[in-house]
Parts: sequence; C-alpha cells; structure tokens
Amino acid sequence: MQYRLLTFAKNSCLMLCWGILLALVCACTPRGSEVPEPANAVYYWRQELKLTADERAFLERHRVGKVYLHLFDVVRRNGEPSPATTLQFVDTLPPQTQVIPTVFLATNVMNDTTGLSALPRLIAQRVRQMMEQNGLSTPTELQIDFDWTRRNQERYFDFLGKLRTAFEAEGGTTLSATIRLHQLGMKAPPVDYGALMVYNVGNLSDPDEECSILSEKRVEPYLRYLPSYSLPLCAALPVYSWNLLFHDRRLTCILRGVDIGDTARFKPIDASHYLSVEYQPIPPTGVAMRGEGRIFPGDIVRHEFVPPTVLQSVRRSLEELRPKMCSQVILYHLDENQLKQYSDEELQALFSGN
Amino acid sequence: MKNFKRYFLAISLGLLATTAGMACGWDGDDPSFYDLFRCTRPLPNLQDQHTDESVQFWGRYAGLPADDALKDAVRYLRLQDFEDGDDETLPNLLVSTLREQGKTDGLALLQLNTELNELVESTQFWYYQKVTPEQYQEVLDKANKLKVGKDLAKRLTFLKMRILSRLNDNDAMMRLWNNDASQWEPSEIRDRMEGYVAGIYFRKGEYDKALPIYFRLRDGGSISLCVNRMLDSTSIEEAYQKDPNAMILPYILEDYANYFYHASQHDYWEQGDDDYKIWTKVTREREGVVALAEKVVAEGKAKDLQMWQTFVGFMQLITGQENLAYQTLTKAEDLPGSGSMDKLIRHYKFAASLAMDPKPEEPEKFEQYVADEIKYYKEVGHFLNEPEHGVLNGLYGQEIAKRLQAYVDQRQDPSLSFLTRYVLDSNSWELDHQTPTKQVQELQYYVKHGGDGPLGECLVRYCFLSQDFFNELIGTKLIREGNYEEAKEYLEKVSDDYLRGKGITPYLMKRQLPDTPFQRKDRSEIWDLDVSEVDNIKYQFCLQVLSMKDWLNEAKGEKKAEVAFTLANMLFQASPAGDLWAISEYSWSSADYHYNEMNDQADHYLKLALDCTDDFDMKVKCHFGLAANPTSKGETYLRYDHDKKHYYICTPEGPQREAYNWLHYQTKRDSPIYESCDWLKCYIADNYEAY
Repeated sequence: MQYRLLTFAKNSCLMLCWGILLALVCACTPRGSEVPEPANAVYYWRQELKLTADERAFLERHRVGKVYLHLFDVVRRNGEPSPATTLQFVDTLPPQTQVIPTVFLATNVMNDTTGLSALPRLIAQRVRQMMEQNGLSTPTELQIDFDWTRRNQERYFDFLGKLRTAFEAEGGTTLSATIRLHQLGMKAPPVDYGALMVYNVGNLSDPDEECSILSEKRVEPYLRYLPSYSLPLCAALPVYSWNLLFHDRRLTCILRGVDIGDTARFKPIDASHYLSVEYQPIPPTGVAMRGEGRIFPGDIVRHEFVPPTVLQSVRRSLEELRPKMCSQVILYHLDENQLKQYSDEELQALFSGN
Repeated sequence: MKNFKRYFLAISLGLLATTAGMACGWDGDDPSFYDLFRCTRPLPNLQDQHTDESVQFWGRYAGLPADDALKDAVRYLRLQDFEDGDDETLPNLLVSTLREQGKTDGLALLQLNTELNELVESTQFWYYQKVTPEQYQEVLDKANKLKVGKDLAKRLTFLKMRILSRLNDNDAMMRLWNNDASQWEPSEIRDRMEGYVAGIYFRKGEYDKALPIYFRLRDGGSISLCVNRMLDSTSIEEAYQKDPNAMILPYILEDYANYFYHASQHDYWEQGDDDYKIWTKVTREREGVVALAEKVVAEGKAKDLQMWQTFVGFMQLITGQENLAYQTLTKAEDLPGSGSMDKLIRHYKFAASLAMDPKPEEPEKFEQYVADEIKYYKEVGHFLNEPEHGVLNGLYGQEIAKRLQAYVDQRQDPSLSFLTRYVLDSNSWELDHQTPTKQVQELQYYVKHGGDGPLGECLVRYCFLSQDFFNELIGTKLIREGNYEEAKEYLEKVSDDYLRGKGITPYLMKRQLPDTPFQRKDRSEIWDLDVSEVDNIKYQFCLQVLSMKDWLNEAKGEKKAEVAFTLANMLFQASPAGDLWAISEYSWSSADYHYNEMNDQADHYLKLALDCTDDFDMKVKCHFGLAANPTSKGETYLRYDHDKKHYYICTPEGPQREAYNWLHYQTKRDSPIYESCDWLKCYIADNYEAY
C-alpha cells in the first residue's frame, strides 16, 4: 500500500512537472498559431512609404501588429542580380508595428547562377542598411517573395539556405517566404514559415475569366494539399480590385485612374463588365504610349473585385483544413482606395474570422 | 578590377541618364508612329546626344580625344577616383589628366558632378545609402561656393540646375534660366538647360508652353508625352480656331485617323443595340472631323492644306468610298503643304485604285503601275530606318494587301495569287503546309520562267524563291508522300550552299540509325550534337530507301521480313517520332511534323514483315515497332516532361494500341524488350488500367 502511495506520489509529481513544462511551452508559443507572434498584418507594396490619415487610422483601428514592407525587387540587369524599385521612405510607420522587410525576386534571377553566390549576403546587408538608415530597428525577420517552379526549385532552396546564414550574420532570426497555391503540391522551401498567397489564382488575360484575383473554384483544387503541407503557414488574402481593359478580346492593360462608373464613357453590361462607348485616353501609367494608350469604343473593361463573402468563405475553408493558419492573416495590400471597398466589420472578420 | 567594373556597369547606364538631364522621364522608342496615317516625322531621342555632349565637353576641356577611353572614363567616374592613395585600380583617365594639367577648378566641378550622380543613383547600388534633400542641398551649397573659370561657368550653372531639379525647386530653376542661361549663345548646354525649363512647364500641366521647346530641342520622347497629355484635353476645333497652324494639330489629326481606322475594323454588331449606338456615334464623330478638315481646306488659313485634304481622303478610303478618295487625294497633290504627305498620298491612291472599277488607267498600264508600286514597297518598306517603313508595312499589311490580293485573285491564276500573298508577307507556311506538290511544281515552273507580264515579273523578282528552295521543298514533299524515285530527282539538284544557309543544318546532318530499332535518343541529346558535316541527307536517304526496296523485292521468307523490318525502322526514324534526321525537331509548327507520312510508310513495311515471318522474336520486334509507331500523329507521340523527368505517352489508338495489347499478352513483363524500352515501360505504367 505504502509502495502504491509512493508510486502515486511519484507519478503525481512527474505529472505535475510535465504539466508545468507544458504550461511553460504553451506560454512561450502562442496558442493555436503556426507563425511566431501572430498578429493582424498587411503588405505594404508601393514605391513610396507614405501613409494617408485613413491608412494610419486603419492600422490603429484594426490593431495591425505587422507590416510586411516591400523594400526592393531583385532583377537581373546586364546579367547581374541588381536591386530595383527601391522603396523611398517619405513617412514612418506607427511605432508599435513590427516591420518585416520583404524582398521580391524577379523570375529571371534564378535562371542562371551568375552572381547568385553573393546574392544572399547582398540582400541581407541591404535589408539591414535600409531598415537602420530609415530609423527602423535591425530586422529579425525577412520575407522573400519568389514564384519558383520545379525547374529552379533546387537553386532557389539552396539560395534560401545561404540567405538564412547571411541574414543571421546580420542579426536576423526568422526567414519566411511567400507560397503560391500551385506550390502547395511541391516540396516546401527551407524557411521558418510561409505566407500562402491566396490570390492571383486565375488567368488575367483570359477574357472569359470571371475574377482572376480570387475565386473559390480556382482555389478548391489546391486545398487538398493544405492539411499535409509541411511548412507552418499563415494566410495572405487580397483586398484589392482592378479594371482590365480588353480590345477585341485581347488584354490591353490594367487600367488605373479610370472611373468606370462614368456612364458617359462606360456602359455596364453586367455586374463586372463595362462597355466603353468613347474614344478616350488611358491615363498615363508610364507605359501607355500614343497609338496604344487609347480606349476604343467597343472595348470591354472587366472589373475584378473579391466580394467579402468570397473572402470569408475562402478563409473558412482554409481554417477548416488547417485550423491554425488563419491565426495570422496578411491583407494584400495597404491602400486606402482599395480598403474602402470593404467595411470595417468585413475587414475585421478577415483578420479574426468573426 | 574586373568585378569592380562589372559592379559599376549597372550604375553607369543610369548615371548617363542623369547627366542627360531631360524633363519628362520618357523612355522608349518613338511612339508617335501610327500604322497608317502619319503627318508628323519621327524625332530623335536625345539621351545619346546628351551623353556625347558631356564627353565632348570634358574632352575639349582636358585636351583629350572624345573616344571610347574618354567615354569610359566619364561613364565609370566615381568619388573614389578623386581620392589620393595607393589604389590598386587604374586611375581614371579624365581625373588623372586634369590633375596633371593642374586644373583644380575643373577637378572640383567634376567631383561635385560625380557626387550628385552617386546620390541620384544611390538606390541602384547594392550598398544602400539613404538620400535626403539635405544631401542635395549640401552639394548645391558646395556648387554655390565653387569658383571656376569662364570656361567652366556654364557647366557649373548646369550642375546647379540639375541639383535644383532634384530639390524640386522650380522657382530657383526658372531664376537660373531667366537670369543666366537664357542669355547664352545657342549651344547644346543651353538646350539642356532649356529642357529643364520645359520640364517645369510639363509638370505644371502647361503643355502648350513645353511643346514648342521640345520641338525646338527635337526631343521626340518628350514631344510625345506632351502631345499625349494635350490630346486628352485639347479639342481639334478649338486648337484650329486658336491657331490654324498649331503644332498640336497634326498630332490630333493622326490620333483621329488612328481612332477612326481602328473603329472601321471593329465588328460593332456583337453587342446589338449598344454597338449600334457606338457605331452611329463614331460615324457622327468621324463626319464631324471630316467636315472640319474640309472647312480648313476651304478657308485656306492653314499652311499645310495637303495634310487636311489627305486626312479626308484617308477617311473616304477606309469607309469604302474609293472613287471619291481617289479624287480627293488627287486634289491633295496640288494643295500647299510641307511635303510630308506626298508619299502617303501616293500609297492611298494606290490602295483606292486597286478597288476602283473601272481603273483610272488602261489595263496594261495599270498592271505596270501595280508592279511599280510593289517594287517601291519592297525596296523602301523593308528598310527599318526609313521613316516610311511603318506606314508602308501597315498599309501593305492591311489596306493595300487585301485590295491587291483581291485585284490579283480576279485574274484566276493560282501562281500569281500565291506569289502576291508570298511577296506581301514572306510567309512560307502555306507552301510548306497546304500547297499540293503539283501546285508547287507549277509555281517552280512559273518562277523559273520569270513570270508573266509586268506584275508576274515583279512578283517573281521580289519573291526571292530560288530553284534550290523549290527542289528541296518538292523533294521533301515527295518523300512525305513516299514517291522516292521522283524525290531523288529534285533533291539531287539541291546545292550544298543552300543546305548550309537554310538554318536547319543541325537537323540535316548525317546521323546513324540508333542501335535499338524503334527507339530514339533523348531529344535533349540532339541539341547538343556538333555539326561536323553538312550533307544532302534527304537525297541520300532516297537512295537508301530505293536500294532497300530493290533488295526487298528480291528477298524471300524470313530474309524478306528482316529487310522489311529494317526498312520500316529507317522510315520510322525519318518520321517525327524518330531521330534519323530529327527534322521534326526544328519546330513544332514544322510541316514535317504535321504532314509527314513516314509513319504510315513504316507501318506498311512492319505489316509486310509480319506477313513474311514465322519467327516469334521477329513478331515481337515488329509488334514493338507497330506499338512505337504513331500512325495517327501528333497526340500519340512519346513526350518528355522535363519537370517530372519522365516520358509519357497518351493512350494510343488503332494499330498502335493493338500492338501494345499483343505485346502485353504474348510476352512476359520481364522480357528484355520491356527492360530495354522506356516507351514500353512508360506505357505500361501510364496505361496499365487500360488493359
């Protein structure tokens, strides 16, 4: 009996220890999360860091804790990987937000090995320099955005491995990467977590596409990979819209600065299509040239916008298959003109699920 | 040093751009180039000129020739070059020369210039350096304090202008211009200063002030951007009333021509009522502009009346009023103008006359006229640097081409019709793919004898189809049809020079039959092979097939089966599925890929071999050949998925499928043939359930 009591006491002690350990572990790792310190998050993907009052208010109202800040692209210039479209810091972000530098790699960067061995170090150093010189703290996390394929997977993953080492040498600890839906069926990259880009799912240039930004039917085929995907994930959801111009069923451009609600110029055909009834200029975007920079009568504009119901439904599907991944949702992207298409409640629901 | 140079290469391009100092930020080809109607001339992009201007200035100042060495010295200039020290790299030519000459003020100015360039380009470096307005201000302060000699004074002012531009200080820039540079003698540096002034107007939206400056500076890119903005806000009628010779008017007219031409090509009947409304609106607009153009001509206030009249003629041409267009354009020839419309009038009249009935000239004369116009087009239109190039190609590609074709087609001469199409777009697709062998032979005869009449002669002259071309094409077509006797006659005449110049030499090279019948090498290997020898392989192939056929006729029993099998393998390997010539590899769109009957020919001999043999091994080999030989073409070929590194084959049909089934039931899975053949293994793996 005494022995039994002793054993019981011993076991209880052991269980208590385990319990304390478990409690400690739980306290360190936020409950129900796949990514470290999950928070409401947004991407900032413009060429100039300058917040409007509404954008600032949005960050505050929705307690946005993380901003994934696009610092620069890497492209191949004269065959060498080079930085491009470097962010200009005109403004600052609210002090309480964690800024996660994000670097986009153009597809051709991984096409050959020239300059690739030095690239991780150059990126890591530049990221630190940009953050520090612009009054931001030395980054502990870095996110890489690259659309890899099976062909360049090995090279890209190797690059990520070296980038981790280089980033650690600059004081970093966490490396994340964007994951496109089609990449769910492939091997996971060697990073700490992935941001699953649940957008750009359709064919932009297909005149018969309903919404290339996001549609449930386009997402659905990829979801089967989600539960078993080996990398911790968070979800990146689109809160943007755009107008696509088609001339004779051929995509001419993404229209910016055009009011498709102007009935003197556009006639609605259905909920998302508009018929141009005027010969009119395409507002200058830096690429429109004479002869091409015109909207002709008879051209069709497809307005793509993801309704909040679709966003919620996709979010639910993600959560059902992978309950913890929506503990952090990143909205793409911070832009008051885009955000105002959604109500505060709808945006809050995207972050929190209710 | 090498790496260092490479590192700075990326910077240099941008650096040159900044020294150019232009206003609008335009970057691209001359965009004011409409396909079919153009009354303005293309203007140069000034970037290169500005680079030269800088190099020439510093060359003159330092007494150095403005050659590539100096260009490099300016291009790779960096602040480090001004530091003293035992740098291992070679000293900068310009800096070291100025040092030797003791030109300290020149050195100081050059250094400030370099400092500015590095600030401007800092975001392009891997080494990030945040640039603030204060840093630009610092350079400006240094520039303000700098004392230079008379020979550098303008250069210093120009540097200040550049810094002020970075600081967006429009007022100071205008002061610098008004109080200083505007009084300079005409020079390139003055032009560059004025370019900044135009840029201020441009940014303020005062395009009518910016445009004359850009015209004077002949800055095509900036004119284009300026015009683009003005087109959006300027009414043609108002612009004309304000100034009948306003610079913007030709551009507005071009834009309208572009609009109405595209509208005339659009099918406006898909959206029913809506489209009808658009169509009537476009028509109304066009009639409005045409009425204005007619009014302009009638009033006679504009200097270039020819331009307005040509516009009217062009509108008539694209709306099917050819007779009227011809008359309008004939009148335009006598109106005053800048001469820029002369050639357009010529082409429009040609386009109109082709569709007119009756023709404005005698039939024989008219044919000569058509031939002369084609000659003109071929000789001028293909010169890319010729200003007319775009217009001509647009016209011949669209309006004239369809009218010319219709005119020729009514002659009901297939050779003439074909040659017209060929001369207009130089596309041999139709010849390779669709034209029956007999018709190609007729065409060869026609071309050989130099054509018939002025039009035929002209077309023959400009089709550039040689007898070698015909002989090779006809020979190949005959091989595809299995007519080796006749093919041999044609192919024998093909010259080595022609084969070498054909651009598909690697695929025509001499190659051995693969060791394993009815299998092919990994296609990637084919690309890596060196071409050691060019041979008339098709001709030799004909000889081989003919000799095999002779042998086959003489052979009996098992020997006959063996010869038939070998011949079948040869034919298979010369097919798109094989790799004896790999001619199918030169393009997926190649006629050899789509119209090659070699597989059918191989199929025939495999069946013959089967009929002649009692030997089980031979039967296995023949069935294997039948299984590998895709007689229904295209879809049943073995493909290699580079991503998956895996061969796959679509479910075969007909004899191919039967052969697979035969092999499956008659042989064992561990038979050597399975082991040796990727195709078969792959078929079994992919289609196992199909059994």
